Amino acid sequence: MNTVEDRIRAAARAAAATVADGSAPPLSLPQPGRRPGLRGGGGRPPWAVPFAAAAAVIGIVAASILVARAVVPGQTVPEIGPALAAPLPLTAGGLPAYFLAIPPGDQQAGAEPGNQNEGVGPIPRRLSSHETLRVVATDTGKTVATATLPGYVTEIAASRGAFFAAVVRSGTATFFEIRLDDDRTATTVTELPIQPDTAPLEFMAASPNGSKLAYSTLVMHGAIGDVQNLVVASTINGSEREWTTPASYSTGSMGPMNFLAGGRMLAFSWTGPSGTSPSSALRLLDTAAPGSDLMAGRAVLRFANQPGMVEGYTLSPNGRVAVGVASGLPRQTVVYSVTVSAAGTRKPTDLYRPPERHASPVNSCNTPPLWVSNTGSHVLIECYATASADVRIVLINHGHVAQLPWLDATANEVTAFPGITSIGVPANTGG
Amino acid sequence: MAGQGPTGSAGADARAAVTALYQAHAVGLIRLAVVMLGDRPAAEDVVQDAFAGLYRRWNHLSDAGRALGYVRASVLNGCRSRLRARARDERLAAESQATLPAASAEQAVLIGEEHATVLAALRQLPDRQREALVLRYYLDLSEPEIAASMGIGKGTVKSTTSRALAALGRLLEASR
Repeated sequence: MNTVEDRIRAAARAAAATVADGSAPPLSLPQPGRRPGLRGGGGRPPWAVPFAAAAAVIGIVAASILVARAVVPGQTVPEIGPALAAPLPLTAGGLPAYFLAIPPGDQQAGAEPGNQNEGVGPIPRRLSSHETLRVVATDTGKTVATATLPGYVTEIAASRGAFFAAVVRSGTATFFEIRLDDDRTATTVTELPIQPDTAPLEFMAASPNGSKLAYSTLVMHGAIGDVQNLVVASTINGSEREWTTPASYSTGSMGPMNFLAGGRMLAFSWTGPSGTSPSSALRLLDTAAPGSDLMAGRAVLRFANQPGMVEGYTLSPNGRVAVGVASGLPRQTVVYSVTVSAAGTRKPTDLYRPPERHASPVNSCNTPPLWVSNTGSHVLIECYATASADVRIVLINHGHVAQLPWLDATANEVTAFPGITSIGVPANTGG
Repeated sequence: MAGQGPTGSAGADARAAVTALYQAHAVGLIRLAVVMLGDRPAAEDVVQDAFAGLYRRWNHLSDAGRALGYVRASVLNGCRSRLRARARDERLAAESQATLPAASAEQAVLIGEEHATVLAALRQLPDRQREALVLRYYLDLSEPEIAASMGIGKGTVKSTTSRALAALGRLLEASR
């Protein structure tokens, strides 16, 4: 049986082979000084739609700027960020009442790519004029508000009280806070006083109280390898610290990260070639300790000792339980937890092993989990609906997939949940 | 605003440069669009539009060497728009899910049922997942190249590709 990868290659090449060499029709370019020809059946020239869409986009962005409190669409960095947001409410079941989602394929069709979209290079260049995110009510699955960001959203994160987005414009990432208004029907989007970054941004996390954003970047240095950077910046005044990998670690890369409850310790996955040091592991970095060596922290869980292929874990807010997803098994993934402590790790415990066939609403899960309770008994995680490409967010509660009301909501591709320490218990007040 | 394109001698230069680029890469880009869309006429339209867009913006390119990257990204954008419009039309028409769309049916005849099934499943994926797989397994781009083409981080390329493969595998399993 061919692998899925082989089948994609074969199918794509077969489709491509239907286009013979030299069979491209003549190029038809607009004639200078002449009214462009109209497309058959249409009343507008081909580029009228993109321009109209771009105009609409400008209108939408302008409107959101007017509505929002302090959106600054240019490169000017505000000196002061917003005051910390009060925690968002929980549902009756104790889950975060709202989460943020990037709708699949949300980038606006028709917006002219513009000068930034010129092609290859280490810095992401493809920008759309804006992207609209949805704030979704957990208990209904309905969109309660939207937030329009003035560029291409590369990463999102959540604290207990606010959501955050990294937005790329002109090859530069800037950072925004998205706050749900008191009536829960609108959002306020505010640019944060964090220095823009031109390096490709990879992963991002917010501290529980929203006072800090952590993000990782990867700077490529040709044949000599990559340098992985971690920045932790204040959302209040933009002050920041940076960690980087020594040159000897240049073959590894950071994965997903999350803050622990105090907002000081940051857990992140590190993946490197087998047999090299430091080995692939879940690492813990004290962001208040001096120094700038990304590897100054400690490995709390080594991947080589864990089942399956693991790309990333989420560490519980108290730092005691790591939950990961083992893949590599035929048509199946297993969600499991590992208790971590200074004395070492214990044997992994299966939290959820989806059935192979259609007996379950979901049959495979993504890594890393969105949120993990302190005991690991409750896990919010993205899973695939059975017989579908739809991504659903489900609650694994003591090994059972809870049929949350929003399981049937529109599939989401990327989501961010506010931090809580356990079901029904808001996270710490610090951090 | 780019308008209809460069004028005067600059316009002639731009026309020559864009035409040369088209002659060198049109077939490859039409093939890419056919993989994405499964529809040759639509693929040709998308590629024509991309080159017309390149011509209109030629004077705004800071580096003509990046023109191919620009036009490839424009082709991906165009395919995304077409697929979205097609999905909307199909929903409106309330077509039976058991019936292959016309483009897929035609493609099944041309390339065989197995390949048509894989491509049909591919087109059900979210935009980013579909593009990541096509760039990776059809164009054989590296992760940094995919990251640059899609405007996402290298780590995101990994996770997107991983998710896309899992999702596609499930779709293919379900279609058995």
